[in-house]
Amino acid sequence: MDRDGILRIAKLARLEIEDGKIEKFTEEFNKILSYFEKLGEVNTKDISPFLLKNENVLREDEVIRFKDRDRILGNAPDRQDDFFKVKKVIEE
Amino acid sequence: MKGQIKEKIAGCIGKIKQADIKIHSFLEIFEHRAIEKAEQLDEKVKNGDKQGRLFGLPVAIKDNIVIKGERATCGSKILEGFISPYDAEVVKRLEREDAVIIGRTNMDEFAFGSSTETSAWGVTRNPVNPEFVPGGSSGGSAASVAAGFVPVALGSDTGGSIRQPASFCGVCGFKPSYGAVSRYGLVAFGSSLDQIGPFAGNVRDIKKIFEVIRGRDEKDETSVEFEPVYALKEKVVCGIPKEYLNCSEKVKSAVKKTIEQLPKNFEVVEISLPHTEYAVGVYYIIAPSEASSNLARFDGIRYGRRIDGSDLIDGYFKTRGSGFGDEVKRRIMLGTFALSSGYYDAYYLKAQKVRAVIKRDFDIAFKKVDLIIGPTSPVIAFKIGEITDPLSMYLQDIFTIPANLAGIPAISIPCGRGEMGLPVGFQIMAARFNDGFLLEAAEKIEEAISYE
Amino acid sequence: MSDFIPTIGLEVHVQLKTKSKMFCSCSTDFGAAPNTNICPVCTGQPGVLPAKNKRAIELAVRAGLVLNCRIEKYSVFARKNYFYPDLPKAYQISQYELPITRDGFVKLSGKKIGIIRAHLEEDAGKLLHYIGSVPVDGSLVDLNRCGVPLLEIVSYPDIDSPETAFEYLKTLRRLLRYAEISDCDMEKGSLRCDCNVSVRRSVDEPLGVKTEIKNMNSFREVREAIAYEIERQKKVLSDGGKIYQETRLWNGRKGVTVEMRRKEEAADYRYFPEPDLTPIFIDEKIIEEQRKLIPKLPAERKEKLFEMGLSEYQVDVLVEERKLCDYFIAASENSNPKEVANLIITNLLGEMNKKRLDIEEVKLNPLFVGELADLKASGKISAQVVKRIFPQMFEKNIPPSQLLKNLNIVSDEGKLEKLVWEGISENSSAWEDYKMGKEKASGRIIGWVMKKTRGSSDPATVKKILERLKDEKDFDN
Ligand SMILES: [Mg+2]
Ligand SMILES: [Zn+2]
Repeated sequence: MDRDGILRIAKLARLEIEDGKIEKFTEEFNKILSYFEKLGEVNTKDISPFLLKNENVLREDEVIRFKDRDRILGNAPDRQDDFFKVKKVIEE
Repeated sequence: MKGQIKEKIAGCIGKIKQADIKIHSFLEIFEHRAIEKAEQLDEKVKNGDKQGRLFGLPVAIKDNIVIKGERATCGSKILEGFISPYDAEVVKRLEREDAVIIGRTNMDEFAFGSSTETSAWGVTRNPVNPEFVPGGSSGGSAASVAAGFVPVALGSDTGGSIRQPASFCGVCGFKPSYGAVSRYGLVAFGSSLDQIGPFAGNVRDIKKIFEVIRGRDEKDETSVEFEPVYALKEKVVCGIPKEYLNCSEKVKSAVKKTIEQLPKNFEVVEISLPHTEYAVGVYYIIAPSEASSNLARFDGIRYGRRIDGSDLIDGYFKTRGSGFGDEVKRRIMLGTFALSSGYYDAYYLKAQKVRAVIKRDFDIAFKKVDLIIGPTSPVIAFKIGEITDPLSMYLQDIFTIPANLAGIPAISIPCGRGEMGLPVGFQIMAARFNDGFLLEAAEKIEEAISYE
Repeated sequence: MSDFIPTIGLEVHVQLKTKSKMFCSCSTDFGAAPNTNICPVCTGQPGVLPAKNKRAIELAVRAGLVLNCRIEKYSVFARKNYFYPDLPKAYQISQYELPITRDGFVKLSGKKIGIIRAHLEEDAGKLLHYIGSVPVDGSLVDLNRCGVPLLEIVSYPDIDSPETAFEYLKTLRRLLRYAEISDCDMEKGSLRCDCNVSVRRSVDEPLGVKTEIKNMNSFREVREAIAYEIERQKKVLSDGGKIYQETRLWNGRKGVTVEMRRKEEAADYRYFPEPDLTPIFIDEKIIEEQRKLIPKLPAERKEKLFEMGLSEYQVDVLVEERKLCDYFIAASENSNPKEVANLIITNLLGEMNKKRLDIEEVKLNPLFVGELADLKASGKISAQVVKRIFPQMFEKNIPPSQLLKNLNIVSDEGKLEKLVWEGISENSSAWEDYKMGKEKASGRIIGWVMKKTRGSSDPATVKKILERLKDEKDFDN
């Protein structure tokens, strides 16, 4: 993983990384990735991925009104009336 | 006459206010809430009303378990200003049984860490020796119990975040079976690994809390109803995995001494969990992958920190870039990478397969033994600032991670002292949903052993 | 311009008919005030978890049956990760590798359109840029729709023309409405359609680069947008240009598609199995339960209606909506089906339209329509009488016989005879012709009587009187 790779991942994750830290991040990242290579030693042919088998867990189709919606709206960093507000969405 | 409960709670709060300055186990004391609840409880006493199972018991809550009307930050700046609009299921269950919630405790930012050094709100110190870390990520909860501020606290454990700090601070810490306790209201880190569990000074109190918080919750599909059986067999077979003896000398000798002191009907055999060495690698792929997705919701739109950028997209980068600390960023990026197109099979899928292999190791072992015992951590508490390399930090969790990967219950109880009198933890694991048996055995072991 | 062959595949999202959302208990009601149908779960608060709606799963199974799909015994939800202000968790819970149903088809009049898969997912919220007509200096987020259960139905690229796409959509809607899986109302957002369109010069060539068109508000617009896009691509290619893989928005006002975003880098959604949800297990019992709830579908009904002697047009109209078809079947049980079909299409639909009612809201007993149809078919009453009495029948749910009595409509020969005499004297030449044996000439007299009584006399009775009078005359001679 090189600098560009790190920046591509940071972009996917919507993270701003300070310029001065990119080098260190890349180095650490590669160290960890090479540690992961160890997993290649385990033969996983014919092994299905881990899964906790729960019975069919289903909820009845009932309406329950949440009474504290003002508490939800109250947390909004920016708000107009009962809407959450964001900077203009350009696409669409 | 002043109410007894109110007096007790006020005393508890007073002590924290005075003595937590050195430890910094609490991020906030809910003074108003706690006193109000205490007054209600005193009223109950006066009226002769029925008292809950945790009547008047002060409880501290990790900062990643939400309480309606209270702040919760997960040790992160990104959640500054957030006030939860709802209660976590465990909080409801505690309060229903008349526990008094005292405050929220410090933690590694979003539970990413093993030392409580990555909290945005400063480090927590080990009450045994303030120059040392309390472990993490539930370091605040462990320290609050170890310091004697509260008899019990709740933490969360994704790869050892309850057991390792319990071991570092010399208290008991229990991670229940995956599914035993509802995760609703626990801010998710690794959804398939996270469990809420209690800290306490002794196993009896752990049991008491577990009985209140466990059980199926409709809001958490992965929660399961089961009846723990708090009973032992005539002969209890304990397996000690040979892979778990690769630890520091002091830890090894404390564990060995404990094994020698086990109750008479406990038989010890050596076993093997052959894929133990892969557990850390598996964990550091799966947990960050799930976390990268779980933490994507912190975008500054509905709650928490928001830094506006030149446009909407830039705002995401600024908000998340400034809101998350380096360790959180590192893990989000690891997870994003492990899930990204072209790498998914080699990382995420491979890790889930090796996880299945590790779980199979346990399935085989539990056919032969009732319990698996060993050290909680390969080391004792280290100095604040001592470990800076992420990978070295990750390797701390080698003995605790497997229980999360397999979804089995595991407890850490104090079993001795290492250098500078710092505690050593003894870990006991059992098969999934044998939580009752595990706690019963832990209590017997706790009674049997002595150390100084 | 040389010939091009279009290839079209449709992705249709329909809202499943549930009371509550896919993963929380908030209402799915349309048109609520902004951010009222919300809770911690669907607004993505820290710490919340999803819990599957049983009804949504059942409806997906029913849809799978209606679409001739294989119902998977085991399926899982997955997270589709991307950032957008209308997506609070920054991932959509959808199905990816293991959808609940797959490999089906929809039969059209001429061909079959293959269905790749139909999978469950949750809807996103809504972004507003205007309040009324006032632009906002930003975008506003309403999360009422967020978490509403959707079924995404993905067709194979088996569609080769805008008309076939149109027919496919109509057929699909009819099926899903019949089985009460979805309302499929584009205006209320309970059906949305994205189209993948490409063209190539011959079937031997590989498929051309496709574009995805979005933002159509009706089936008609879908047809227009596809037609436009095919022509656009043909022209670009004929001019030696290149088609880019991109998303294009349909602009209904201008009738064109406009480039929205070009996919330089394919979006990386980082799908992985949703760890907060348990897998879905479907057994035979659930499938049988749902199968029993599926009524006879349009194709089968069509056949039956044709056998009853209805015209193609009548069949098409009646089969369009299940409740209407049920109504027809009830009304025509013991009555003349062609006449019943006429009455329903002309008079009943007319009244419903006037009053803006759905067929479910109609109070009129279908048996009364049958009765009326027989009166008309036997010539006892005229079209005008039908027209006059139908609104009252419709409104008050009264049988036609009673209305005819109340209105004095008339099979009373005594009352009519006087009028018939008047008619004869006003139309004496027609009367002469009639007497000479020209049967048709009676029409003029009957018409006069009908006109005079504004349709309330029964033509059959008038005719009978005329015949009698003619015979009486002869007798006089
Ligand atoms: Mg979709
Ligand atoms: Zn909701």
